[in-house]
Amino acid sequence: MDRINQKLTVLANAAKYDVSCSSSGSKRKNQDKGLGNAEGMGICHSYTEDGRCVSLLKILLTNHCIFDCAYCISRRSNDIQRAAFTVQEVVDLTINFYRRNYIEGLFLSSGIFKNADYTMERLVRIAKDLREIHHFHGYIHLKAIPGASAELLTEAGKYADRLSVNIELPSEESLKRIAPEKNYEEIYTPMNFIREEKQRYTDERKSIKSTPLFVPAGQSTQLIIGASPENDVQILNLADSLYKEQQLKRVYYSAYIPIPTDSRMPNLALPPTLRENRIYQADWLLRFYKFSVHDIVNDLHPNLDYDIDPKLSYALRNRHVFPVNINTAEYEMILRVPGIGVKSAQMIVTSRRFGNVHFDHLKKMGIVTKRAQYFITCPGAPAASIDRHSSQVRQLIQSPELRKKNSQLILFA
Amino acid sequence: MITYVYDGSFEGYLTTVFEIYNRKKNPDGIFTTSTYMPFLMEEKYEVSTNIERAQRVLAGIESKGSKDIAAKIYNVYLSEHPAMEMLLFQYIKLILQKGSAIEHDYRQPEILKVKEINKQIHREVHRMHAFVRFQKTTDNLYYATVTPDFNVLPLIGEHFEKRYSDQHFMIYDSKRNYGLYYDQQQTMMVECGAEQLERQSEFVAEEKVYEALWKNYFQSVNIIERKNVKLHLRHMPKRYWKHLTEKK
Ligand code: SF4
Repeated sequence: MDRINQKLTVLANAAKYDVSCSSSGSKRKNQDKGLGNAEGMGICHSYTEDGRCVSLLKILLTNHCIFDCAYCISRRSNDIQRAAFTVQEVVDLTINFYRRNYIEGLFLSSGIFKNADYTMERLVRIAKDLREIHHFHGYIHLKAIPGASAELLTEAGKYADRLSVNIELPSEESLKRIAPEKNYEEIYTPMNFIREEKQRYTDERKSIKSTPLFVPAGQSTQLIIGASPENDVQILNLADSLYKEQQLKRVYYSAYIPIPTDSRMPNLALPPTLRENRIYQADWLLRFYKFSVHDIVNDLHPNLDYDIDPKLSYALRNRHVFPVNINTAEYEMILRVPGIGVKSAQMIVTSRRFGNVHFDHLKKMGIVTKRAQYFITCPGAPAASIDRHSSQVRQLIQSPELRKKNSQLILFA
Repeated sequence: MITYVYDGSFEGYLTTVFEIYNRKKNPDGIFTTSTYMPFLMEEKYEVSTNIERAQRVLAGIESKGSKDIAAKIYNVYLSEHPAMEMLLFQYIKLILQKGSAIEHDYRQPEILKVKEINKQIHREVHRMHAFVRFQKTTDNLYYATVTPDFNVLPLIGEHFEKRYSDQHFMIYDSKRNYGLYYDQQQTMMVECGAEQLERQSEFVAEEKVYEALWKNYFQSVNIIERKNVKLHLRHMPKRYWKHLTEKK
């Protein structure tokens, strides 16, 4: 068991830079009294000391790799300890962790050993064993290895709930510079293939009910933030097209963790986590708040404001669309008010059917009136607030700790 | 002062609501036999639980309101909130008078409060889904002890049954001294004697191995450069640690 423990240390450590942890959105149900159930919302079973969710057993099958991507700890030229699990070891760990309610399932990735197909075949084999021998219906996320054959990807799609191909660098130039053996075509090919296959299965299911599931939780990818010079417009436009054209379920952003042993990489003191956080907030506005990329960043404001969140930043730059009348405005406009989230916007529109919603009601519903007051009108709202100048509002809302935090944001001068 | 005293069960509570309507005497307080303290100058009415009457009240709530509203009421009952009886009475009165639509008028304090408590209950249910840690006993039982903030065991059985339909398991609430037991056929509520609890603390040899592997995994996926203890604690408050293998 000591050997397994050692392997686990190495291969979990190498996998942790992939930030995806979601286990949501699958439709896989328990059948015939098997083990596990992946339908619906995934669960975070634990949280590491960095505050990140632990939902899946996230490991590499091996960290041996024939490639040399500069941002990656497993790259061939890096002098680190190497290890590899056997198929059975991964299966045993998954089943035994799952039975104890530690995890929702498995997220298996791998360095590339020998070639893409050889690697992909091993990953598929593990998923297949779990499904067919162990009747496991928990969540499985597999990495789709760029360059793997169509047959292997199709098989992977049948066993996995999610497949992902990581783009990592937000522009092809950067990718070529930092990961010379990779290019966008190789990344997009499996992504396109999986998207088309998934569509085919979905169409088929409409006429033939028994059509098996194919990647029911869809695809995701990851972009590294701060390892290359792209600005936030570029990053968010890329994400937007990934959602719209590639129909990805999630784009993850990962603040670059400095591995200062490769001269191709920038030398940051700390990972740019605040920038990552702002990008996540912007991503959220795209997916749930009906914002366009242009609303958030554009040629005039190509980067997100680090002092304040993107929604407030939008509101301060667009005072002409405010104040929003709480009792008459459209739902979409209420959503745009800083301090009002999706749930509270819904509470407002259902409540106002019964009579006027007052400022006091808003407070009780949990709306952050300290923010919202500058952008709304409703009975009882402090009248002077909406006349304040944007720069003043900014001053009033902005928290002093945030101002201090900015020191870590020295990126590409 | 009119006070009603019931036995603490949900059926008892619903019977109380029936009696209030029946006697046309609004309560100034509703207590259970264990929370009741006598007042001077009060008119005390002891409710004897009556399943048929309870069901009539429930049916009334479901038809004037909805099944969903009835579920919300049950959740508030499970919250063990100290003022929950009077709150629920006001809430039920509102629903019976105005119908299910009123449920979305969050300007009403009772509606908002019921929603808030439901949110807390859902969070606790979610935490139980997340933080239960089974240990395999020598009787081949997957056993977990929990001490939830609210009495949520009645709400979590289905979730675990769906996942672990091929394993015996028990989730034991050591604060309220009862557990959910699943025997691969059905889930039931059970109480355990001292002897049985003793047996349930004898684990198979491989248990230690997997616990060690899990702890190791938990350490290995942490990114030291991103350390954020505040966030860690917000997601995993300390009071849950005593049952979490990786934090013990
Ligand atoms: S191919 Fe993957 S594992 Fe190999 S060096 Fe590049 S990123 Fe790392």
